[in-house]
Amino acid sequence: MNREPIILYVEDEKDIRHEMNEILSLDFKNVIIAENGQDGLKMYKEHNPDLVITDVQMPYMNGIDMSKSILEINKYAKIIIMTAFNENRYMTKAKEIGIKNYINKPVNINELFDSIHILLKLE
Amino acid sequence: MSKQSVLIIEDSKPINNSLRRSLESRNFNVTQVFNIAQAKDVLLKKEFEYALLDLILPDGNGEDLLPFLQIYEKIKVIVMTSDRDKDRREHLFSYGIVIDYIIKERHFHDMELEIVQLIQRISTNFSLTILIVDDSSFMRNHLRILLSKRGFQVVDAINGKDALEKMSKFKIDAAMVDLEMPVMDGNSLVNAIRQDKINLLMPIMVLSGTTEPEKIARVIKNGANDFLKKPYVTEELLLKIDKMMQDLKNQRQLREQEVRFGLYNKAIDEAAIFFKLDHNLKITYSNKALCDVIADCISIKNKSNFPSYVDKTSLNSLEELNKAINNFKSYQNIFSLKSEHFKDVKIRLTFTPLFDSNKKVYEIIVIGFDVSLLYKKEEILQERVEREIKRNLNQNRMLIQQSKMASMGEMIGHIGHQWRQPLNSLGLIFQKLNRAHKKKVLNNELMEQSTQKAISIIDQMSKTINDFRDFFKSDKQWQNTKLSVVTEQACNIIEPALQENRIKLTVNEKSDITVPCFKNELSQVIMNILANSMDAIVLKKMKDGEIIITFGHNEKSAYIIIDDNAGGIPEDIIEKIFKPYFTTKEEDNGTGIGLYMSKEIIEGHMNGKLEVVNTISGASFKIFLPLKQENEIKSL
Repeated sequence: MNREPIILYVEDEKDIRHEMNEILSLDFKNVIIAENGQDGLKMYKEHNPDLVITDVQMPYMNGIDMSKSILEINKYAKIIIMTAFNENRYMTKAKEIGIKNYINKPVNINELFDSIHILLKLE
Repeated sequence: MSKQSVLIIEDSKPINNSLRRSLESRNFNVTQVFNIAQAKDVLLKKEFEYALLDLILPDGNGEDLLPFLQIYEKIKVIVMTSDRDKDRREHLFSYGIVIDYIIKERHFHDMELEIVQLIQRISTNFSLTILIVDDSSFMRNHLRILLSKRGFQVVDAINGKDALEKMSKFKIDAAMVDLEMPVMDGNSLVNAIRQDKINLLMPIMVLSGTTEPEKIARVIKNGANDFLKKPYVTEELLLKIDKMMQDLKNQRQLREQEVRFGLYNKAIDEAAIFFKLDHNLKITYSNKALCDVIADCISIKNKSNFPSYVDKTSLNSLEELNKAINNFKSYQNIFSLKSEHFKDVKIRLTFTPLFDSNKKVYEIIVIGFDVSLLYKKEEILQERVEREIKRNLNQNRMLIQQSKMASMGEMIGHIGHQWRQPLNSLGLIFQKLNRAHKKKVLNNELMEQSTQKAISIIDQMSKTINDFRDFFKSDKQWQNTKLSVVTEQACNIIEPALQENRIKLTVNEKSDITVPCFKNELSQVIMNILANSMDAIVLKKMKDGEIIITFGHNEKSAYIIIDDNAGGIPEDIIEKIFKPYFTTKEEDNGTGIGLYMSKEIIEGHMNGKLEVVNTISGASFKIFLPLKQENEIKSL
């Protein structure tokens, strides 16, 4: 991959969204953000990002439903779900629709970047 | 006894009528006549027990009626006259039917009373038998008639020896004895009679023609009660006999009373604790009951000072007793006594001082009842009540403790919700700085901005902790607080949990009002109800859950209504939701204490009311609080 990858980050919590945006921007130039599932799906369609990182619990379409819609558009779409330990019920659903990558909250940044690098096949 | 009949022969109408009324009121059957002719007429038709005879009548002399009256065996005549001629009186008595002679000139009422008393006395004489001892048959006969008319039974004897024989055959109550008699004279007879102890009190009247003082003295010394010289005046004889027999009756009555008193004494002695004290409170007599309770009778005899048996807890009573005795008053109280046999002896004692005419206490009668058992029963009851109260208190304390623990659990959950995001943010800030540093892009601006951000997040977290701590502070006193302030306190804590479950919370503050309340407790109740509504909404997996809080008030109370749209509480459990330990939740989630304690807080602590009803869309909890609390100083 020669061009700069585009990363879509979806999170409803303002503080977290802000921090994550700053962190991701340390490594990637093209980070786009969305506040909820609906917004996220719209951004995906517009920007066709290389990677989607999403929270699960959100108003106006949660992370799972959004991922499902994205996978319907592009079944090879790369998606990382961030979940808290108490959200196991979402995990089952996530696996059902074919998402294999998830990261536990609170987020360990190193782990997140490792995952991103593996998924985007970066050095 | 059937009514006795009296004939009044008296020409003065006022006297006649007054006598009639007086006698009728004493239950006599009275016939009135006003002259001799009428009297004769009536006497032909009817027999009478008594006749009251006026001597001066319009159609002749009353005395002329006496021979006519003599025909009737039963009749006894009482003569009423103002005549003081003693010979005439003696003459009238000699008819044998005249039993008394009453002077009319005295006060009217006195005369009436005398007549009534006389008749009453005579009517009780029938039970008494008098022995007449005289060798003269004339005398015997004369006395017999006189005594019989006065109602006595009569037995006669011709000499002393005959008299003793009669006495062994008949029950004799009194004797009239002649002194000079053949075979055994009066003196020997009196002597013989007095030899027998039974006859010590028997009245004996001696009649004699003797004038020798020596003889009279001897027979009186031998035991005769009275002496009458023959020939005697009939009236005097009758008066002396009446007096003698009245003394006998009185004496017998006294003896009966003595016997009765003895029986009372015995009854008390057997039924109660009974002892006597002298004026120094020394025990002079103690019955078995006292010995059974305090110490054996010999010990009591040796150590007879009553105060030495009084326990120190009853010393006040002892003082009061002394005071009462000094005032010649009886005293009653419950005394704790020292006992050789038992512990805790309590006796209700009644002290009655007996004092003589010189106001000197010579004896104190004490009657007592052992009330130790009653006390013990009361103590046991008291103990049981206290134990129950304690148990209830413990149970209540446990409930409160349990409910506190339960809400602590919930609180920790809420704190978790409140802190999850800021903790995540803090974690990200530090990792961001670390990564920027590694990438050598960490500049002052980023450092400053991140630190500011972190501090602001930490401030927010501290504030949350303060909120929770305030929330759990127990209320020390009533506070006048706006309903909106109390509600906000509760909402702040539960809001993150509501948001997470997408539950919309609306607070309608339009009719906000200030009420006296225990602020934190009220907040806890509101939060508890909110949590219940939230749980119901989550349980139904509703996406449009909604809770609406409304304030309002009427004349006496303010109220907070908390409505949800979770469909309401099933009718079969709505009655039970305020019971302790009632829960519909699974084991981990509910303790069942919440609503019970809420009701307890609102109704028990704040004199309000907590109710629940189902509306069309869901449950509606209503908290009523009085606008004024009677005792706002009350603290918990």
